[in-house]
Amino acid sequence: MDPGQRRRAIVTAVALAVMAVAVYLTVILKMAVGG
Amino acid sequence: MSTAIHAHDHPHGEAHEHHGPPRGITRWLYTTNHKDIGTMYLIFSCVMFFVGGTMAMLIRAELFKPGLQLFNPQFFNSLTTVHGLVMIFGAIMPAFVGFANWLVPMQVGAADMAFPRMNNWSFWLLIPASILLMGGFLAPGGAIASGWTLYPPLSIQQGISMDMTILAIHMLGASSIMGSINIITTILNMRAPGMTLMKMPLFVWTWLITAYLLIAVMPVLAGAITMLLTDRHFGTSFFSAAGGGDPTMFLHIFWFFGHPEVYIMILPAFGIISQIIPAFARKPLFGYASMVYATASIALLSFIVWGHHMFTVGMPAAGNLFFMYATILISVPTGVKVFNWISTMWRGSMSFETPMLFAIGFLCLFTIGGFSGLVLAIAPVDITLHNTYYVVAHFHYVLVSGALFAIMGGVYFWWPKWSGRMYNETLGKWHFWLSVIGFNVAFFPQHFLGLAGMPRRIPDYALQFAEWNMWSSIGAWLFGASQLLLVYNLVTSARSGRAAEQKQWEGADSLEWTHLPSPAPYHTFETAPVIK
Repeated sequence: MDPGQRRRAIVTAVALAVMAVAVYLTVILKMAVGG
Repeated sequence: MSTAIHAHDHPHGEAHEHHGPPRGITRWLYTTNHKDIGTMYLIFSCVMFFVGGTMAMLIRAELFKPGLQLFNPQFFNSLTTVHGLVMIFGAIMPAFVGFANWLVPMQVGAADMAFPRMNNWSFWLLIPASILLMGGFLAPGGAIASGWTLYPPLSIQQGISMDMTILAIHMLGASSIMGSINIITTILNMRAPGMTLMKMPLFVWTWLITAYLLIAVMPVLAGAITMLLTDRHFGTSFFSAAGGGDPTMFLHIFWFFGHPEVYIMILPAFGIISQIIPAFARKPLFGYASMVYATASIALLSFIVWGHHMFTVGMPAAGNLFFMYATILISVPTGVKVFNWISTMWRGSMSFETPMLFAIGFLCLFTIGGFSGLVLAIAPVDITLHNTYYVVAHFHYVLVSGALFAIMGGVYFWWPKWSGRMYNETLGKWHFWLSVIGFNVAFFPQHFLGLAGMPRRIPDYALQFAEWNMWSSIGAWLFGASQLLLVYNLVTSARSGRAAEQKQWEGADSLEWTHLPSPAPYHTFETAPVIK
């Protein structure tokens, strides 16, 4: 994996992880603030 | 990853990976090799399949005749609950992740997955999670008995095994999300030169879409069960009616995860079938682009149909109608796929080795499951059939003759590439036919039982259901026992099967068949192939 490929891979992975955490928090916070 | 590519740069004397796998237990504990991790996923899945299958055999033993035979009702409910969770999270999902680990890098021309260490972690999380899940049977109060859907208020009231299950599902979800991130990143960033998205094998496409589904919905399940945990122990009332919460809200959140989860378990199966049928029809897949778009359409539609699991909770008629029509709409892209598979076979030069038999079995029986799904999608009909054995018959046609048959077909198809040896074809065909007969004897009568009103998740039933239940149990035991043939076949093949050829199947055309020997070397595509 060349450095450019590695950088793109990390950016992709971080974006996907942020998406997963955002979904998780949205579900709980939406319920917590009023359903 | 870089270790593999730059292995030549290491000074000699170091135990670097290039010359093959390290020996002993550390090979498996610390491995970052996608093939080793794929193998571990598949073995784990096989073990859990037999664990969940044993529970199924016990369930059918209890239901062999009316009256309580072997277990008290609480234990029976635990069996049905843990059977469902083990089969979904322990058997089917890890099996497909095993396929993905083995095949995605080879099919896109990559040397390994993008994040090999995270890949190792994804697998090893499964072990403590499964111990927690199964350990509920030893906990005070027994294993959870709420059904795999964990509906409150039962799930709020149960003992410590519910907390163990909640932790287990969190771990399984984290494992799935890490695995999905790895798969998406590998597919998007590590394809060989010339391997455009629309040149990828269908299996890779279905896994790319499945991985997005997993990342979108596993956190939803995690959120729901986190809230269950706080309701149980931290004084919140998200789902507890006694504290002003709403148990129905759990159903909405759960099924917003649960319906895409069904497609998470079937889209990779579609991918496997899309590899097998062209190989044995000796024709390119008919309608490749439409297959890709149909897969994406099914995934998108899966987000707007969750309400069809809860037609009986009292939603407004407009809501029921919306979910009914949206669900029926899914039959369009699914029909595209079924007709494309049939068109691929049309005027093909077909042969009927074991993988093809399982693919055709899938096609016939999954379609029956699809049709019974259409029946259940009709809201007024579902109000009658909800929670009956008709539903049990429906989802077993989708998940056993759908997902599991595809897994078994895929194992026979790629076994020569994985092991370098051929399985016994005669034994494979016996396995197929006994599975088909056992499966249909077990599950087809459950349609009749459901239409006659037999409820699911009960250890006892009225006398008029006795005969079909007896047949269902006999079929289930036949199906369960015939799976031992698969294990025997693979074990004897690994020890003494004849050597497989590089391109064992004449019509197979993906990179692992055209570019790699059998068995596939420990490290592959360290220099990426160029795809024309």
